[in-house]
Amino acid sequence: MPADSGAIAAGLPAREAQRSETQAFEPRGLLSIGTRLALRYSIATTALIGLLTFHLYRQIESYILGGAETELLRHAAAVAEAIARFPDDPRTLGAFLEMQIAGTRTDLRIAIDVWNDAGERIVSRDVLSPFDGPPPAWTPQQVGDHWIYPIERGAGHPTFALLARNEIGTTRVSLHGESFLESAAAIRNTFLLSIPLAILATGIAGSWLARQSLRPISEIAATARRISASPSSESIPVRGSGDELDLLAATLNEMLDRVRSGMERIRQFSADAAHELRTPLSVVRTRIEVTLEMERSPEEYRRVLEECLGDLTLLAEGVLSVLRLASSEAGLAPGSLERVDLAELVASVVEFFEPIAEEREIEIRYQRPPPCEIAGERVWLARLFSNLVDNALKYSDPGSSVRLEIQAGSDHFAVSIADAGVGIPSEAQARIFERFYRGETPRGAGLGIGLPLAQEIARAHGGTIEVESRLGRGSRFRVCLPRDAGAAPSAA
Amino acid sequence: MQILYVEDNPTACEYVRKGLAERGFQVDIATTGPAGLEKAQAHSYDLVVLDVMLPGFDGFVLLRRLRALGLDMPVIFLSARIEPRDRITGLNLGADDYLTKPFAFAELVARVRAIARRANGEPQAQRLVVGDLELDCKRHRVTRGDREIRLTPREFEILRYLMRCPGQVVSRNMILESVWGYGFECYSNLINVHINHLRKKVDEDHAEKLIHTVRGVGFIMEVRTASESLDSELLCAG
Repeated sequence: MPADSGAIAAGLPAREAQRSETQAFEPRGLLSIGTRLALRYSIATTALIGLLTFHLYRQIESYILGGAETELLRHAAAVAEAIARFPDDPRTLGAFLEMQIAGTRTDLRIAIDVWNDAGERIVSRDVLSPFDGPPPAWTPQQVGDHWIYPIERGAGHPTFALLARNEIGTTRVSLHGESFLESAAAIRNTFLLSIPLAILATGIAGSWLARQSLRPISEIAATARRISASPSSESIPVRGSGDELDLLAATLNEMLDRVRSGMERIRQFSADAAHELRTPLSVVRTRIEVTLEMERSPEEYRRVLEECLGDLTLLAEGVLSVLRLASSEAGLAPGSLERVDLAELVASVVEFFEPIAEEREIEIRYQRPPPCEIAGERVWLARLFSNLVDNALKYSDPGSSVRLEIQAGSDHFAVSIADAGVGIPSEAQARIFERFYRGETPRGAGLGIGLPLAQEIARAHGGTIEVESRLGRGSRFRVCLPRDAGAAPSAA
Repeated sequence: MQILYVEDNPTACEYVRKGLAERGFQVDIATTGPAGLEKAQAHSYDLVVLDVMLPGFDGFVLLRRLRALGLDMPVIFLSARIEPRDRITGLNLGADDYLTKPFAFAELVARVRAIARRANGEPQAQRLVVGDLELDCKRHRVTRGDREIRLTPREFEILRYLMRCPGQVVSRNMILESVWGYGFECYSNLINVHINHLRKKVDEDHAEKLIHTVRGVGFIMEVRTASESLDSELLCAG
């Protein structure tokens, strides 16, 4: 067929094109996993550092301002003590307070004034109080407590004040909080400055980390590419650390092995097929050439043509069986699955071979079980079982019997075909499923495609074929087919 | 009988046309899908023989368009595609038969004749008669003269298939496909064994033989005396 050969010829350049396409692929820098990883890492780390810093700053700020509060409290306590000692002597009280202040840090500019309930200042000192007016009205519900110390900020001044209630009125202790605020600001600035540094550092660290952990992947990719471009049997090195990268390398190695053995099988298959077909082709050719070399009688021409037709018929059968084998290897088309009753199918195969068996004085025994339905292709399954039954009959002796049986498992059916024939030598048992393998068969067997075809059909249905055999005792082929072959993997 | 053969290989066309013409068929050739469709519309053919892989559009598309146009002449596919699903596709589209390449020319002729006969109206008789052999489809009974012949269910089906078209060559594959379905084609030669069993039951001890072998093709059912039968087989073998 010209269309066929065209498709084969067109297949080669298509494959070349595909290969060059894979070679042209390079990961794009902006979108590479490494960059994305580094970016995500530094965003996450920065967010974390920012949050921590903010929280820490709040803690430190409240600690620093707490220092101012402690200072204020200490003075307020002294004032309370002095008021208790000199309740009626504002002068002495004033001098006492003067003394009290004299021992303190000057930069705090501590001021103390005491006001009576009428709003008059009873005691004041020379240092200018940052507050001009009397303290705000006392809120009665807070009287119960001896010490009440809301901190006020003076308008425009970084001033803290503490108000305390006592017997003669209200005492206000105030101080300039500049130094406290300055330390808080210094810390805040340090923190603010460290954040961009942290971003930079985590970015660098992140991209380094990402590159480090991704480097083995790039190496694996490079090795895989090199291997796939060459027919060598090299494999991707597994470092033995047992991590995900080893898993990746091992998986890729398995895949490479499967691809390689598939390629090898295809190569072997076409070589074998070509070899098997070349001999009969050359026979026909020679016959025609020799016949044409001189004038011959019409009877002779006719005879040669008939012989050629016979050879070509065999050749065509050979080509067909090779094609069937090839197409069974492609697996089942999902759309072509139908319900097939194995019990009925096997019965019809038995009926087909019954007269042939009878002629060879062989008995076929088969007890048809209740329906055994699987999802599959009837035509292929008919080929599978007719191959096995034909085989069993071929190797059986007259007077013996061939037994067929179907066993129903929970998720599969097992069809066994047992003969009491010559048996298969153990060294040949492993090879009978190889294409074109012909053991020392008693009668001229075919191309050596029947059993491989049976195996491929079983495999395409998600099943298996096993053989047990003893020389001189017979062979038993067991075909296991899952009830639901719809999910069958295609032949790998 | 007028046949349209759509096939893009000129050598294949030439010999199929020659062979069919020598058997009294008139054959027109089209080499592309569109050309085939055009010719099929312009003339009323009794049969279309279709390749699947064709330039333009393939045989499946061609058949679909023919049917969409209301043309319901019989169609045989002659295809290099051996996948069961291709056959199913072809038959589901309404083809009458599906032959895979390489095919035996005699097989093609047998199928063309069978389809031609079917197109002329298939005998729906409950009783089929060839000579003094009678087959009662309803009661599953076969008699020759006044003697009943006991057949296995499959033998009965083979005989019924043969008797439906007396005087016509029936190929081994046609019997196989009609009685067992697809999947046994590797063993079509084994049909001989079934026919021999049948022949023993039907023809033994009778001077007039009914089942005859046509060498290289299949079988034919008709009344022949023993000597005629021998002659024709020698002629075929000649």
